[in-house]
Amino acid sequence: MSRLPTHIKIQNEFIEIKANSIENVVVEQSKYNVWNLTFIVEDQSYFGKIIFPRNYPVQAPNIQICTTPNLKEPRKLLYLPIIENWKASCTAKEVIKATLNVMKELDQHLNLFYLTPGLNGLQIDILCDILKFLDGLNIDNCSLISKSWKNVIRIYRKILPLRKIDVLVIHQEYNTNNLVVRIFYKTYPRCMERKKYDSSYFYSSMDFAGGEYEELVKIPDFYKTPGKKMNKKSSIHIPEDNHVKISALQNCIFDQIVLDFSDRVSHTRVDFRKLFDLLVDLFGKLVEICGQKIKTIRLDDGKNDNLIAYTSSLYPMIFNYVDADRLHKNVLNEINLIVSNPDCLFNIPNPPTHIELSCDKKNVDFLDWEWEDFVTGFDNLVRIFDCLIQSQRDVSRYSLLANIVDPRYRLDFCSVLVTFCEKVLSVFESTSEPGNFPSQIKIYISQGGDYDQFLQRLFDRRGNLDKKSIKQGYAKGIKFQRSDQWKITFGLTLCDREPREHAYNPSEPVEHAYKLLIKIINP
Amino acid sequence: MATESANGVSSPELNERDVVITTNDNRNFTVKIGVARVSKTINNMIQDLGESLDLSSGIPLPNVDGPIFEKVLEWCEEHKNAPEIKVEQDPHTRERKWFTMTEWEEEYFRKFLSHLWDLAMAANYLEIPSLYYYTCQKLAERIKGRTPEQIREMFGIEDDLTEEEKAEIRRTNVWCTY
Repeated sequence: MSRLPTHIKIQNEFIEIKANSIENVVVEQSKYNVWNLTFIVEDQSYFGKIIFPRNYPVQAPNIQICTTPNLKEPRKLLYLPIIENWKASCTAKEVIKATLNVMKELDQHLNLFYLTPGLNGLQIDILCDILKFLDGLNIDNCSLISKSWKNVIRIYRKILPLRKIDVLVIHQEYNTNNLVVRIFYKTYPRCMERKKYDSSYFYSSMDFAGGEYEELVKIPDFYKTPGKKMNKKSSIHIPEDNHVKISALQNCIFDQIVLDFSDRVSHTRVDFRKLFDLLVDLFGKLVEICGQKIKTIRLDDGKNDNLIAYTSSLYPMIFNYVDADRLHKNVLNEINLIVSNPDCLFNIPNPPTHIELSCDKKNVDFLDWEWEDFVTGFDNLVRIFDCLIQSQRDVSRYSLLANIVDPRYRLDFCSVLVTFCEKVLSVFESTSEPGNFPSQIKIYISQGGDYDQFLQRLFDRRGNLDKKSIKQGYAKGIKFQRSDQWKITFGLTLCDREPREHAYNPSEPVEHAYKLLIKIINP
Repeated sequence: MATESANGVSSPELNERDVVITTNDNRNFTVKIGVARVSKTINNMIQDLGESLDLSSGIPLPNVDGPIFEKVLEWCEEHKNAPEIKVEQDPHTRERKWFTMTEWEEEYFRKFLSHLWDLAMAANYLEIPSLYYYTCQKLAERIKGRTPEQIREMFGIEDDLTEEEKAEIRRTNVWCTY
C-alpha cells in the first residue's frame, strides 16, 4: 500500500479535526508552517503545539505545552505515554486528546507547572527527570512519600525505569491445585538437586541450588469453580494479603518466564488438566502484560504421562502468540494506516523472540528408578517434535532441549537416537518449508555409547540429500544439504566435564558427556 | 544587512562583551556574553533581540532570584566551552545512565546541597542541560536507597497519605519494602 505524502496526511487530519471537533478545544494550523498544529483549550488554561517530524507518522510528533497563553511560544516538551510508545496508527486528534487527559488528570491532584507544597516547589517534569535516574525498586518506594509523588509516578509509570527480574517461574503448589508464580533474582536451576528432599518443605533444596526467590502471586484452584464469588475486575483473585496483583509485573522486565510442570515429588501425581484453564489464562495475561519485555519462555516438562497430553494442548495457545507476533511484524503497520480505529489492534501482545522447550528427563537418582522413565523422557522430545512439525506453523523460534542420563540403557540408545535423527532427516528432506523447522535441537547424552557407530549409521542412510562429514576440534558430525541450499548439521561434541557443585548452568548439565546438536542452516 | 547583524551577534568578539542581567530581586549581574550563552534561554533572547540588543539596559529574568543565579553563573563560567551533554538510557530497563562528574562538579554540588531543587528549576527555566541533568542525578543520588520517611524529612515534604492509601500502594506493588 502506498502512503500519502506526510504534509497531505497532516492536512487531512486537520480537516478531520475541524469536521469533528474536540469538545472545548480549538485547533489551528499555522499559516506559514504546515508541520505545526496549535491547540487552545477554550477556558484558556492550556495552549499547546504539535510539531510533526518530516517522516510522520513513522516518527512521533513533539508536544509542547504551556499554561499561560500570553507567552509567545510554548516551550515545554511534555512527556506523554502515547508519544513514548508511538504507533504509526495514532492520529493528531488522539495526541491532543491524550494530552488533555494527562493534563486533566494531573490537574485533579496538583497544579501543573505551578508550585505545589506537596512537591516542595518542584515541577512535575523535573521530578520525572529525577526519577528516570533511579531503578524500579527506588521508584516504587517513592510512591509512599506523598500524594503528589504517588500520582506523578502513577501517571508516568509507563516511561519510568523498569524493575529487572531474571526469571519468573509458574508452577503448581505442592499438594494443591494452586498455581504459584515465583520470581528469581538469580538463575533458576533447571536440574534441581532433590536428594535433600524434606517432606516438610517442598523447596527445601532451593537455596542449596542457588536460587533466590520471592513468591508473587498464588492463584487458588477454587477460582475456576462455579458458585464461588470472583473478583470481576481482575481475572486473578488474590486470597491473601501477602500475595499481590499480577499487574504489578507490568513495571518489570524479565529475561525468562519458565512454566515448570515437572513433578518434584515422587508420590504426587499432578493433574494438569485441572490446572489447564487457569494456566492458559495466566500465561496469556503474562504475555499481554509483559509482552516484548520477555526474552525467553521456557517450558520444563516432567515425566508424568498426563503432562504429554497437557503440554501438547498448551502449544496451540503458545502458537496464538506466535501468530500475533507475525501479524505484528508484517502487516500491523499497513493495517494501521487503513483502519482508523486503533483500539482493535493495540491489544495484540508481542511474544518473545525465542522459546526453548525443554524435554528434560529429570534427575533420576533420588527416585525409585524405573526402566520406562528413560523412554518417557526421550519420548517427550519425539512427541514435542512431532507436535511442532505437524502444527504447520512458523516454529523456527522454538528450540528443543533434552537431557538423557542413562548408563544402563546406553547400548540400545544409539539405535533410539538414530531412529530419531532419521525421522528428523526425512522430515527435513520432504518438507516444502524448511524454514518452519525448530531452529535447534540439543540433546545431552551420557558417556560410553558407540557414537562413531551412530554417526556412521546416520551417514549411511539412504536419501536424496548431499552429505559431508565434518570435523572441528573435538567435534565431529555430518552436514546434509538439500538441492535448494538448505542445510542441516548433526554435530557431536564432547562436553566439558569439570565438576561443578553448586552452580547449575542450565544449558550445560555436567553429568552428560556428549552433546548432539541438530541445527538448521538457512541458505 | 540583516545577515551582517546576525553574524555580528554570533561573532567571537561579542562573547567577550558584557551584558547586564537583572534577576527578580532587582540584582544586576554583569556577565560576559560567552558565559551567559551557556543558558539557551538567554542565548535565544540575545539572538532574538539581535541588533536592538542594548547591552547596558540588560536582560530581565523574572523567574530566577539573585542567590540562585549567582550559583548558576558559577557553573556557566566553568562550562562555557564544554560540549553538549548526551543523555542516554538503558534500552531495556529505561534507566538513565549516570554521568561521571569531575571533582569540580562534585565540589560544586557539595556546596549547594540544600539548594538542589532551586538549582534544578533555574537550570530548567534557563535551559542549561548540563546543570539540569547533573542536578537531577544528584537529587536521584540523595533519594536512592532512602526510606520514604527519610526522603520526606530531607526535603520537607508533608506526609498526606492515609494509612489505607499506603496499604493499598503496598498491596498493588509487591516491592514497596517500607
